[in-house]
Amino acid sequence: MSRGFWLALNVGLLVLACVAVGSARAQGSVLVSMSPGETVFANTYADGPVSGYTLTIIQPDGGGVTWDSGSDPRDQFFCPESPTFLGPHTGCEVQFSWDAGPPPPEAGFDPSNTAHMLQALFAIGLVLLGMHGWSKGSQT
Amino acid sequence: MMPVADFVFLASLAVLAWVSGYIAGLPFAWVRRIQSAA
Repeated sequence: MSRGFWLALNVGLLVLACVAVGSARAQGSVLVSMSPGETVFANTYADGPVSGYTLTIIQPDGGGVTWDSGSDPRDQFFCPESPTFLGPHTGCEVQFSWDAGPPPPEAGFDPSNTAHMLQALFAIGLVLLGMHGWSKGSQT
Repeated sequence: MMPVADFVFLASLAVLAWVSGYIAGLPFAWVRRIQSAA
């Protein structure tokens, strides 16, 4: 490979890193299923240095409760085990929303999420850079 | 707008990846040099 190619690759990866971080810090949300009998505490994802998270519980009857970093950490939500009056109970849904910082681990890897894809590409770029360094190091 | 700290962190990661690969490749160069000298 020519030197120009590697230079272009490195510059491209740095630009990609800028876009990836900028996108990851943008707002986002993800829905996570909650099993009947499971409990979620308000401070699970909204305590400590991680700020900007909002945790919204969507109850089977359509109601919900929202917590953020300013909520009482003792608050909790118990997903009921018994069937609701609306019919068979299949569980609850928890919506994690964030407006700063990286997405919570519950977000997982979502290929339709541009930020996730850019982060994955950056990781691949790191591997390519390592391979390039290996190539140069083994030719000295 | 991306904070400067994030840019520095990611750029450091990129440099670290390259340097790690370079260092990992050095022994292969040494072995080749020793073999060609022998």
